[in-house]
Amino acid sequence: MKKALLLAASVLFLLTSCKLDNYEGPNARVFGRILDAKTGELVGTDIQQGSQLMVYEQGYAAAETHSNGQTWVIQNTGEYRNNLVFAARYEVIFQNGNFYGFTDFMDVKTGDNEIDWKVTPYLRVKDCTIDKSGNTVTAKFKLEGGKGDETVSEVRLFAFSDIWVGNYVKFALTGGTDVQKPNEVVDPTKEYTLTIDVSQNSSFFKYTGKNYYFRVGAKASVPGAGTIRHNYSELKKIAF
Amino acid sequence: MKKIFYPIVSLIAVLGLAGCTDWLEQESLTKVSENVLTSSEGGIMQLVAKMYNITPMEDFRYRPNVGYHQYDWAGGAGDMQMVDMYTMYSCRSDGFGINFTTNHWSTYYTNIRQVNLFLETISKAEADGVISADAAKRYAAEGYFTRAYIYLSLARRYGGVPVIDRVQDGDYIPGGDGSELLVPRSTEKATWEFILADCDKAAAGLPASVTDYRATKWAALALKARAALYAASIAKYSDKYTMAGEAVSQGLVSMSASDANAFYEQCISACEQIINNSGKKLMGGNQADPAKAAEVYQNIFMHPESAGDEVIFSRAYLDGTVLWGQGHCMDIYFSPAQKNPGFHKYARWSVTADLVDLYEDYTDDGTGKSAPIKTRTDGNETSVFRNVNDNADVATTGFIEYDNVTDPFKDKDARLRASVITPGSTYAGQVITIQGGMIKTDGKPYIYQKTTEEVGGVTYHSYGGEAKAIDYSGFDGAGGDSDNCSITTTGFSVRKFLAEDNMPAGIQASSTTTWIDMRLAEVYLNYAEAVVESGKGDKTKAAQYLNDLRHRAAHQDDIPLTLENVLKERKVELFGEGQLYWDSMRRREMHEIWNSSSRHGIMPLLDLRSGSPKYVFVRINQKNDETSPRTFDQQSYYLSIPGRDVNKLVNNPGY
Repeated sequence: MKKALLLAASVLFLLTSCKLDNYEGPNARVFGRILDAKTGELVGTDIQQGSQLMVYEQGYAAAETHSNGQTWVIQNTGEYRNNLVFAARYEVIFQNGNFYGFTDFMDVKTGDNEIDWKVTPYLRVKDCTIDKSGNTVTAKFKLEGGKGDETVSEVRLFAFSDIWVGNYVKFALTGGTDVQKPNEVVDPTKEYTLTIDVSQNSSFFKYTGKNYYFRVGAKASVPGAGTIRHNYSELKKIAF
Repeated sequence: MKKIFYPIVSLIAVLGLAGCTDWLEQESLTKVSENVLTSSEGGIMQLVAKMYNITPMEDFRYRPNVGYHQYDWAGGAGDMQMVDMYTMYSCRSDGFGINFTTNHWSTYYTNIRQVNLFLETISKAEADGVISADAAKRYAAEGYFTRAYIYLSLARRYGGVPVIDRVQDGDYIPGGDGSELLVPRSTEKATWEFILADCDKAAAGLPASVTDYRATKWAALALKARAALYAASIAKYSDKYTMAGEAVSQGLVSMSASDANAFYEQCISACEQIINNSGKKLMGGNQADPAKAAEVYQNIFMHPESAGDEVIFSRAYLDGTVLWGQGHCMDIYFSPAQKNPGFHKYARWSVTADLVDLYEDYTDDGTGKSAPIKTRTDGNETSVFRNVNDNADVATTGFIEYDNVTDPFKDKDARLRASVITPGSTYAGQVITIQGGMIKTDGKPYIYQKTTEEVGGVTYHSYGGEAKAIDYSGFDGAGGDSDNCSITTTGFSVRKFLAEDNMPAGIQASSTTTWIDMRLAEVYLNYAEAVVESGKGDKTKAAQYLNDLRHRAAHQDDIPLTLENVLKERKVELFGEGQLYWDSMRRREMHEIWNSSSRHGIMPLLDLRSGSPKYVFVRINQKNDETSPRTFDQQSYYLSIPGRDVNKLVNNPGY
């Protein structure tokens, strides 16, 4: 009897250590788009050092006081996705991006969550055309302000060898005709023209038969808004 | 019953009696106990030495991306020069960034606790009669000096931080959650004010002169001036820092422009006390001859121990080849290829053309303008040749043809020749050949290629000589991997700090040259900058100090006190001394300087087109920057605060 008890106790003791003590993994996926509240268009950004979501899970002291949270990157296109999220209520802060910052909450449920955000970009690049003719790539466009009184601090035609083209992923072009620093209040009627002289930059545009990618970026200046990043036109692919 | 009675009694006896002896409290025979250390003045001195050891000086042994006290080659002086930003590790590209993100947070806070424990120990030793009241005052002042230095390092990297000014051991409530130990961040302004207050406490207790390397009253005031100027600049240029977030709205980072003048005034008054009362003066005084002036200036850094008149605070080293863990790697790492002491990594400090161009020449017009090296007949010195080895324009551009490779540099400021090895200059009796290629008689340039041409019976080499590191020191292998790039990539190599007259062996940690942490020249420049920025203080004196520095470099004219002149003078005078990176940080210039920017070089080419050898100079991008220009993002002005799950601190914006 004693022996049996001892044996049973030992087995029980051993078995307690067999229980999995890992927590459940992330059970939710969050994805969506950053949309212009006025036009409904995607607000594209930089893949590196671009706009981002700062996300704070509610229920944790460190997150509620914003001392610890997560940073979710927004893609070039203005879309975002995170497939490893815990279902919970989150506070989301947008700041230091390319649209007016704000704070909101989102409830993430188990499974897929499509959450779009309506924002007011600092600038909109309108009527943009980017074409190559001979040895010149020309971009023509107009600008519109998110609220109308923004100052335009820089307009630039970005070029790169793949789709991630933007302010941080670009050819460092020679010639100077690809960038202007107008420093003037945005005027929706004004047409800007930027060009790239391909022959001066032949070390970048090395190959014929290859695609190169272009975007027009416009950077606003708004006092007290934090860091402002470029607003972009749609991506243009040109075969050389 | 009796059967178990005796065993129980004896067990109780053994267990009980065991508690009556000290055998569980034996002192370690290999360590010195706290009681022994604090019962004699000699023991206290051990703790004082510890204070100097933990002072986070950005010296020859500081490596921004690794840590302090890195003495062997793997962690040696490898990135020290990166701190000054106008220069960089020639062999690496290190991605696209230009900022240091390594966290030294826990090092700093561990050491702050050491200082606070030290301050407690000192007052206890004084109360116990181990040390005199005078001695206690000086020791405590050394503690405050160290603490101010650590908080300065923290505030430069993180902005406002938790101010821990005492040992927290007594605060803990047993069984509690420990929240009483959590100290929130102070505002950035309050943090700087705390640093200045610690400097004042230190200055009040430190002696006016020492015969060793310990801190003086003047060192504490020079530290105060440095800190106050930093704080003032952050306040004045706060509108150039445009990050948003909780840390900004709570004032934990950045300050208001209206706070600037109070800090500038503190800087001015600290500088005045040093200048008027310390008896320090510039080594060498006014110089007439540029060659002599260069010698005087170079000697300050080659033999700091003989420059005591000017040096305010410094750190000495013992020979690491004799005493393990001592010494530094300045000479083995940075001597030019042709005179390297024999270590397998050398010539790693390629000074950029951006710095070289800043120096004035002696054809002064009294304005103090920089005189960029003249390379082109059309005078367009802002134009840079991209992919120079592949650039057809090199053959057709109108370059100035020089007879000697040294000609473009011959009339430049004495401090250039004392700080930088330019092409064709002499180092330790050896002419240092730096050449990136040649234009052959057929008019075709050969750049970054090894080739020769014979003209009139003489064989000319594209790199200026036959064998790398024996006959020449430049460009061959630029941009190669870490073990294959011991060569200048910009056309210039460092001279300042090298033991040119007494080269050590090619073994790691063999250098013992003293690091000058503070000297009168910096105090002069701090004063001049604070005066010109705030309009307070004495403008005439500020202009005089600025010109005293130039007169020591054999300039005969006086230049006016303008912000531009002060900042230029700061760069050329303090090059390599660990200040220029922080200058760009505090003045919020980093994101403007490094916005898809490349570091530049000037490449000498041998030009045989005319049939006789001439030299032309081509402005180039430093090879690694050609394809990966560098960008500094605003969030990097303040680093991310680590350990926030535990310390509950508000993080800096952008992370």
